[in-house]
Amino acid sequence: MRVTARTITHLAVLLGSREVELEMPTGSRVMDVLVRMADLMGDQAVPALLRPEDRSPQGHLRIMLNGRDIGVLEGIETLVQDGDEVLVVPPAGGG
Amino acid sequence: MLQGGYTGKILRIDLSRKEAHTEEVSAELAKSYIGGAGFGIKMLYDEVPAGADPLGPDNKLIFASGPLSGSDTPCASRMAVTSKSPLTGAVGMATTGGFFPAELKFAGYDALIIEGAADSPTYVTINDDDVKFRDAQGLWGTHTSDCQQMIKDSLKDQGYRIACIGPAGENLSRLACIINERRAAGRKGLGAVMGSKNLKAIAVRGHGEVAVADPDAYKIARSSFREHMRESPVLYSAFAKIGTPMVVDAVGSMGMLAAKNWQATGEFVPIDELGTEAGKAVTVGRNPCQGCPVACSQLKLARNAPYAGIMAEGPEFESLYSLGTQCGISNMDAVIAADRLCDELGLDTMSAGVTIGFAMELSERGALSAIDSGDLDIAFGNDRTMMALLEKMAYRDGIGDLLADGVKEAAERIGGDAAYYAMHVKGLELPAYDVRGAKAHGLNYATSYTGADHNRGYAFQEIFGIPIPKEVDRFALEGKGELCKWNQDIRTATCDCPTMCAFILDMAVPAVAAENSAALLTSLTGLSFTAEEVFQVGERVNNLARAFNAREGFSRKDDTLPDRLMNEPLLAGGSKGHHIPQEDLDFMLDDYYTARGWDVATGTPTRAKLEELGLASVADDLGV
Repeated sequence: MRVTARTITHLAVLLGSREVELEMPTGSRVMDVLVRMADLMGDQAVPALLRPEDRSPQGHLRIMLNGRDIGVLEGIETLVQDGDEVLVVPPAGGG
Repeated sequence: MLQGGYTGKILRIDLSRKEAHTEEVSAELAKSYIGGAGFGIKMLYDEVPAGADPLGPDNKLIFASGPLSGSDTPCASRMAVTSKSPLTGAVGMATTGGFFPAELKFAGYDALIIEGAADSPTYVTINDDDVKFRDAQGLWGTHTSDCQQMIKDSLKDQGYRIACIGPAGENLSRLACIINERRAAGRKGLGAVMGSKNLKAIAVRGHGEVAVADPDAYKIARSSFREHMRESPVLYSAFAKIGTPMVVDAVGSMGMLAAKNWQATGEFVPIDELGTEAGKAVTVGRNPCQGCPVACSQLKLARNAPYAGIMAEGPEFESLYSLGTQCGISNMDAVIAADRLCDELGLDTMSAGVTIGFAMELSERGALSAIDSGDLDIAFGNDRTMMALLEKMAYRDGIGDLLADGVKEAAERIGGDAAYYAMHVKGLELPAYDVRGAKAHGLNYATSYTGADHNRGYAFQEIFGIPIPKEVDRFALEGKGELCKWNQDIRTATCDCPTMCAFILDMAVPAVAAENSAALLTSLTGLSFTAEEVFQVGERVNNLARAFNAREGFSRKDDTLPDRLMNEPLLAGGSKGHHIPQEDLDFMLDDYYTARGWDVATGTPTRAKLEELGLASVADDLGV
């Protein structure tokens, strides 16, 4: 299935784009998408996206599935479906 | 008693009689309203009669810095300017930063109350306790930066801090703001109130300082605050270097950056042209407010013709929307130039830009064919037209006169179905966040006492994903009434009243905002504040503001959103498919009024709630 992974600012620079299409196996979770994004980002994905100690997502990042924060879903264990979109937003403020 | 923080004095300035005198700040007033917007709204409610003409001599203009302002608490040089808004007819309260707020305290005043009207252009100078009324004939017509410099030169003292109006305020544009340095009390037409009083400027010079009641406790409270600031994952590491333009990327990626008069949200998303990296490329410096170690305000320089050489302090996120995406413009240099032009003319960048975007849509739909727009090509993306319209609005020249009072007034004059395309609540033009993707933020637009005002109840849970007091689904309706109330009360209590930069609440102390304010206020002032009492001040002020509006005839019927947001789901982007139909808004309003303890049918505060807040006399006034 195809999943769109999106991010912004310095994470988009690491990813090479603000948006990439990923081919994911059925049964993939949000965490699996993040790992694929980290693979594309290269060495700097840790610590930019993942924590060095356990390679879980950095706590300050906002992660959304189809616009909803994964905290109101099943977190990084949330299953993704064909056509879903995972968005990772670094902390922001002001405005 | 007041031992610190407060100067203890209010300066009342009667422009009609050219007289000024001081009044005492009571401990009761301080404890119940803290300062800033609390003082302003209390004085407005008590002193401006129902039905007063906002541009008549019965209206008053209150400048109030909070007790933290002028102390060495970081990020506290903020001030509330309060009046009856000529744009909305409701409470008009806008905050500003820079140096003027602290200077007012150094001069010895917690607040200025401006009343009456001068019979000719006037400016007022305040040098500690020396107050003078001066002839402003020679300043009338000047841009705001020239005005400020001319006053400093005339007084032979470059240390004055000056709040003034530009041509827009002089010409009573209801989109006129008040400029101090390069900051603005931007929204709700407060510059027109100054203009109606023939008051070009107020110049303040102070030589005092803000006392501290309990230095040891204050040092601990301030250190704790600074530690929270240092621990923020974004405040110093990113926000200090980028400022509010970072929100273009965040909100744009979520499909909530409104565009082309809210037709193209999620479709026209020029992050590459107006976002973080584009902003960095044109940033040439920073300009902190007094006592601010963050310095988020960025100086940006246009380098390409026809705007080369124009510098602005900004554009901030909201102006990148209003003068950018809202008008279909992605040329950063043009937005810089328009931002600077608005500051010089004394126009609110937000309302002015939204009004121009409204005109662009109407023009493209053929609804302006009967209006003489000269040789202007009024169309989305035309930045030269935007610049020309800003000038025309400030001087009420031609079509500019039609647009000078905002979208609500213009739609009424144009007629037909123009009102459908007028993006406002209670007459105040919409901020940048397309709230079809953030329901509590939308509910705040509908219920804020100032109209569609993102700053009165900012839903940082939905916009930035900050899970305080809890994590929320930005698309959900459930619980948004209680959340909206919490956002409105906490921001009023901890930012608008003490006074404090609202960005710090979001980024440094969202989990302990009331506790942080209580510790600072108690140690600084010598009054005792618990966190619960601080929070209740926010609730009290929001209720008193609501009562002022109820007295003016506002009720549940006015707590609404533009038809487009209720009828048209978003067509693209990260919030695609979402809108706020009337039944969803009604659901949230019921929830909100219930959380507030207000009458659900009318949206009016109940006697029980008012008495709980010590406002029994207000219940009497309202007959509830």
